[in-house]
Amino acid sequence: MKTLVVMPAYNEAANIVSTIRRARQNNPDVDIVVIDDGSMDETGDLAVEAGATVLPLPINLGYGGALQTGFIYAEAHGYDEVVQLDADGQHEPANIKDLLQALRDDHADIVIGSRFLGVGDYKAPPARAMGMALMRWLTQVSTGKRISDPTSGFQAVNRKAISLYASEVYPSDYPDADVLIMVQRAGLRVREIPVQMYQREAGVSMHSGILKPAWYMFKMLMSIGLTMLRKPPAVSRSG
Amino acid sequence: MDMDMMTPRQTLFTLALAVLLLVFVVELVRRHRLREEFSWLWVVASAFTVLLVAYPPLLRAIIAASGASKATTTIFMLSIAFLALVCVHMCTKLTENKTKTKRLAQKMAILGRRDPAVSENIASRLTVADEVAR
Repeated sequence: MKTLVVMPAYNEAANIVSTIRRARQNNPDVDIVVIDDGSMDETGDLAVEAGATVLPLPINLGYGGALQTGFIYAEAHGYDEVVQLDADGQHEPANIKDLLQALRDDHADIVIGSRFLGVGDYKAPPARAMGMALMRWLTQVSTGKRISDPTSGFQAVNRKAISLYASEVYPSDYPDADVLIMVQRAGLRVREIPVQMYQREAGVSMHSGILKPAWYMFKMLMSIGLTMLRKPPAVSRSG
Repeated sequence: MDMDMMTPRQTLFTLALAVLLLVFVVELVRRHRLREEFSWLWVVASAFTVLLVAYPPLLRAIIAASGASKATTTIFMLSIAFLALVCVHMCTKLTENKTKTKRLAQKMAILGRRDPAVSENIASRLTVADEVAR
């Protein structure tokens, strides 16, 4: 099994080294690739020094475009599994092997690390908790399957999902509940396992402020609506 | 009747504008300042305007169909609809460009791959730096 940990990073100099080191300590056998999304700080250099492969994007593409770069890279280099890990230290690297274990045992194509299944004490601010509840409800209504943490970016995926994520159907701005709905419509199997999540270690989250989250919710609602209007994407049988 | 149709002066003025637009667009394409693919909408619009004022029955039919009371109103309405169409057309081109730019950037990132530095002393230096940071 060739396994790749994909970490999109934008101006994460404060967190990147410790995140890479912890991921490496917990998972000596995986390759780690950092997608440097046009950072203006030392993120790229630090990641190289900390022992990660770095793919430097010439322009800032945003989370979705950066993450997709990792999937395209994984597909081109024949990786069997990809784990997406946030560079900001929010995800616990010790859980990577749990995600991979579930991916191999449970015959799932996508395993989501959920912060709401009893591990840890993640507490979202009220507004964000409402947004998450709405996403959860929408995901359940449109797929019939309950996912406790559809907004989680801590996921492990197999070849089937890798090639789907590397293709044109992957959203260009921000993958979220809309992707989970899309993959399930395409027939991929999604499982959840409990993971530990933390508040950010340093720097600014992309979901801060008031207008931005409201605009984000609006876009995500539109995106989910459009996902439902589209034909489910075809999945290659290579997985 | 025909109080609501265009006066000869209005007809002439509109014709002149449409012809000017057509000449301008063709000239831009001729000088490679405007791509052919973006010129069709404008060529069609000016040709349609010429047809509209040169052949009153068509204009009359559109006025009747739209429920407008004046020829000039109808022309304005059609122009606004056309401009909206052009805007949407621009946005589809922008989308196409953004998708291509994204693909290019992703390709570049993969081609510009930087491999991990595995030198021992860098590793130890980082360990120290990391401990200090904690």
